[in-house]
Amino acid sequence: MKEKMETDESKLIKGAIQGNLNAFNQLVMIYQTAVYNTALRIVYDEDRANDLAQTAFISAWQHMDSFKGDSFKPWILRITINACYDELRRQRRHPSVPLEPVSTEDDEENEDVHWLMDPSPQPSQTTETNEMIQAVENCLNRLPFDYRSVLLLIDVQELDYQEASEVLDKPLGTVKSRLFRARQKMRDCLKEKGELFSSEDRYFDRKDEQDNG
Amino acid sequence: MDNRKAKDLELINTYLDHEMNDQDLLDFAERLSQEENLKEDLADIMQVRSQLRKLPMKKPPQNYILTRSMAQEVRKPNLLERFFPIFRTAAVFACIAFVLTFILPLSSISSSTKTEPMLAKKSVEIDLIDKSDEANSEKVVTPEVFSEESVNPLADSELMVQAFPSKGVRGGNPKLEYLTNAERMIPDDRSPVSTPEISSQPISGEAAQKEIQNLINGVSESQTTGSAETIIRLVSIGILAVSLFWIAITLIKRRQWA
Repeated sequence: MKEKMETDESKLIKGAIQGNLNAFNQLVMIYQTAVYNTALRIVYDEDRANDLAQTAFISAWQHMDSFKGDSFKPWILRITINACYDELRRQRRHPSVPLEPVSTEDDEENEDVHWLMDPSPQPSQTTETNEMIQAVENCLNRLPFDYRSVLLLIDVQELDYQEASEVLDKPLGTVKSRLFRARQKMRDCLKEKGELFSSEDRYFDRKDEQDNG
Repeated sequence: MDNRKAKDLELINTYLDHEMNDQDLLDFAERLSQEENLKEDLADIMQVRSQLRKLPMKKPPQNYILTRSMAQEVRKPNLLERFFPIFRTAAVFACIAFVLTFILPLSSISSSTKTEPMLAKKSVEIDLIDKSDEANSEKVVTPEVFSEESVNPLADSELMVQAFPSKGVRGGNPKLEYLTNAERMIPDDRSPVSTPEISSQPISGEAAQKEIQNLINGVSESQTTGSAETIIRLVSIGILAVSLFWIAITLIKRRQWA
């Protein structure tokens, strides 16, 4: 099954290299979720992630001739991460300070309730799972860009070390050490937030599961 | 201590990512059974990893498929796609040209129907000219042997009277009668330009040559028109064939990935 998928993907890649837009668009359909989510986890802004994903695919189409390899995923993720990195650098150079919306008529501060509303989920909506996801995302967001990108590629997108090394254009050793440190930082962060079970909790948790099961 | 911790962490990660060789794996398993801290670290990292993998994938707000115009803006299409619009247009024009070669000859057919009797008349004229010379030399023409071949419009009136004893049409002379008959023999020969020439003017040898030349030109003109039509048809068929081939290949290639 996996082999068939790989063959299909190779055919699509070959078609896209030859300039077949339909073949390329099929690859887009396969990988757009991975690309969008990678961009989202790096820039933490849905609109920007959306733009970056589109930019990444346009860039991929533009440079399809230079594609060398068997798998499209590492390549498109590399383009995405580079686009995100450029975006973050641009943002750092020209920081866009969120301004309080001002009504154009009387230059007074807009006191619209919508503006004052807390975008975070309401307590009633928050479940334990959501808390955990939020905690993980929060911790991930705190990581430096290099660590975050390694973690996203290997633990979220499930690339292997070699692929991640190619995507990031860094030596294998660097990728490994960054990954270990990134995981360590994540562990510390989650522990700090109380979202990581202690070994005792894990023991009781497993025991409960066994008893219930 | 920190060094040891870092080394342990590296071991844990190597183990988790299945990058450990057999010997290291055995050593690590042994250490795990003895060291509680190492066991706990391993459990933490495993949990971090599993939580990261559990992160929900959000659905993109849109599809990022590229439209043809977007794609063409950033990258030149391949040869098939690049020439596709040209061949599509060429196919349309070739079709139109091909059909027109069948429609347009209607006008040339009507003109050719005009030329055909004229050619017949001209041939008679030539015969008449030839025979007139003979008649002049022999000075003997009998009404019994009257035929198209023996007609001599250039003979003098006395001879004509002998040959045509008729009083003529509406009291006219026999020559006029002969010419009228001759005209009747040739359908559609009502051209006001050509008729008086035959009837009233004697044609010299030089003029006859000129007439023959004109005749040949007329024939070759009609032949040229015909051959031009054939050429246009052949060319349009050729263009149509190549264009259709190109269009078919492009569409097949497109459908392969659809």
